[in-house]
Amino acid sequence: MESKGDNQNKFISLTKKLGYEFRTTYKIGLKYIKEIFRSKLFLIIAVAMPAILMIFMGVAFGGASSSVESFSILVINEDIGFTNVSTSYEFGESLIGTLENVTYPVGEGEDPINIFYVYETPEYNQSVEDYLIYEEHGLHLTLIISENFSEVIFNFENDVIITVVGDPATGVYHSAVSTFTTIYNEFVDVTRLSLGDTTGESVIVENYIGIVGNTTVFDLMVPGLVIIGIVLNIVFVSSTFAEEYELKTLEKLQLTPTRAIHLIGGMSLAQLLVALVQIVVLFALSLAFGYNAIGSFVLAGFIAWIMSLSMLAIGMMIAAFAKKGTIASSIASVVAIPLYMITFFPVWGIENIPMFQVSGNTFGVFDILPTNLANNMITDVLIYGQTFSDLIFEFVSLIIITAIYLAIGLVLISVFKLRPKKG
Amino acid sequence: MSEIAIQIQDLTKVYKTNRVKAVDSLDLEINKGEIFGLLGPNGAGKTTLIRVIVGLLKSSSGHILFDGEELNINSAKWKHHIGYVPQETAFWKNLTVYENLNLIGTTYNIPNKELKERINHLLEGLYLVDHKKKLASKLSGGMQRRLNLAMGMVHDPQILLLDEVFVGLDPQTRNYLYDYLRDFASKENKTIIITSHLMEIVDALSDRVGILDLGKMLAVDTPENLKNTHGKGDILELEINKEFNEDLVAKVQKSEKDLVVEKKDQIILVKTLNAISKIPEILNSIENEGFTVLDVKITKQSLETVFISLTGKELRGD
Repeated sequence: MESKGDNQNKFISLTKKLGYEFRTTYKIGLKYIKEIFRSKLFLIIAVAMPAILMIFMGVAFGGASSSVESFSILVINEDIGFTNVSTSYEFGESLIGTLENVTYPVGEGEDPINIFYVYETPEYNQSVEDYLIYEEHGLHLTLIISENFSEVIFNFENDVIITVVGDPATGVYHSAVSTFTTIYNEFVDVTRLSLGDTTGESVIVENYIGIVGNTTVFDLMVPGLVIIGIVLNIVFVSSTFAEEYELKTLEKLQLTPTRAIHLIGGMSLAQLLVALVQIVVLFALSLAFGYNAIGSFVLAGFIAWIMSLSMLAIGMMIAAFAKKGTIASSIASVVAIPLYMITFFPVWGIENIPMFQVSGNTFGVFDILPTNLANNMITDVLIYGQTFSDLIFEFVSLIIITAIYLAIGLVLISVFKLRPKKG
Repeated sequence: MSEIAIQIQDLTKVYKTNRVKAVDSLDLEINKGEIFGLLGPNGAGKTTLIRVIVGLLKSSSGHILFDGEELNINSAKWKHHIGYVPQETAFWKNLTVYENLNLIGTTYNIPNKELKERINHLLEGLYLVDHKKKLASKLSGGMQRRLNLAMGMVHDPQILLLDEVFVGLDPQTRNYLYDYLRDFASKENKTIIITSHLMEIVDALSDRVGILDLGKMLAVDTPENLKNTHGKGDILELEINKEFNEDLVAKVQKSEKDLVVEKKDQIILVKTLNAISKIPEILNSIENEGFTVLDVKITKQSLETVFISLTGKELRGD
């Protein structure tokens, strides 16, 4: 039987061990922080480049000049409806009803504002063509609902049934398309779920949480720009690790009792600090360029902060296979490109591909990339005003995905860089 | 009797990629407080052997014992006992001298106060104290090498392995380092294993020398014994007062064992091992024939000639 003294000794030993683990991790973290903040390359890659990008986008698409309270859209409804047995469906009309009823909240005691101001016409003709002169009539978008729209919806076919017409040179066009795409996808999902129940449109209105009326393209881009800034960290994380190998400083640590967990823990501390600096700088810049946000910057920043750890993990994965810092940074640049592109898919209206659902929440293929998941979450927070409780599923997903990335990074760097070589 | 610091038993390392046996069934014992010089041409297996000892490479078979105990070479305990200073200087260039040492010391779980004392002691000993706040990248080459050395010693290891640490040092720094290592081994009873192509340094610094080639230890002994038992020996040049013929050469030849004697103008050349001990007999044999020796020059057998004699090849470039 263990005596009280044995337990005390065990406790003291455990405390000392934990103390060592934390001290070593902290010192290695401090090393990375000092190295990073003393490096000009870091200042250029991690701070200057994203800041310049934010400024560029802010100048190009920011400000209140291109903002609108509601999107003016013309809907040409060519849908002839569909009859199944004795029930007729006119989903084109339902969609128009939905668009007319979608609103966003303004403030307490004030009436919500409609997102779309809808002009409707049944057919496409010369007079309609005249109507398409946007500057003259102040239209932002024209939607053409095809004649087989109801049939396609009913039969669960995937044909293109809505044509979007507009002027891509205007910033509002992109905002309008993005907003419409989100509502339209939800309309189709809900309608198909409740086929036979034509009250689907009201469900959409209730589920939709609203959008800022004066949203600009820049507003939609800001979450992605913050993500891009953090994605750039892959370059210096991977090159820092690979340089440790190349310059034999990693070997110096291998000679000591340091383990992979200390290295990764230390780098995580550094990465979190770097990401914090980036998040503060980038959000501050976005505000300077008239970013319209209704949600919490703290929550959005926290999401980006968690996501930054997955970039650390990707950096480590690259460094595990690269023997030189320059090779690592080249590979990292190539890896970063698809991450950037997928991050902007929602802005371009490209839909995610569902993989599975949990309690009504859909996890898509692109969500495997933490950048995509975090981008959508930040957009939901800042543009749509969602709170932590609205995003619990996404938070859990982001944490699990980040943990998986970190675990893979840890294993790879341990196996390929820290273990004694078999030769 | 000397205590054994490190014992290597039947150690073999075969590289899987090219099937080269870099270390071949090697047995070696190195004593506490001893400076052991490890010589060998390139590809002899020196660096492989050292990297196996310090745990950077996995051995194929064999055992390494510290104080008679076989430790896991990747264990923290083993790493505390071993210090390694590689040939290439490696440090964090954006950290200061002090920060580099502090980081390494922390990873060995040395308490802060003790670590500070050790670092200051090393900085003073290696004349880096005035540069401790400098970024490592801003140090001169010699100072960088001293920092490299300090990083291998900051945890006060029992066994210090130095791989070509004298390369690229100016004579002053080299002499200084030489004295420092001598003190380190003798005053603190530490074991040093050193590889170098600078034979005169290994000769002067080492208590014993091992000559390694193709993964096998060809000879292990004190530098003096190696010179006396291997190689072509010392060269004596004896200047004679007047013309002499082959008879005198034959007399000298017979005066001692294992002499190689040649006539060169007014000079008799004698090649032999441990020549100093044979000089009286050689001089007697000359004077007995009525000649006088005007001058004696001795060129001592060097470790380099022993090395070449044993490995059968000229030094291969570093």
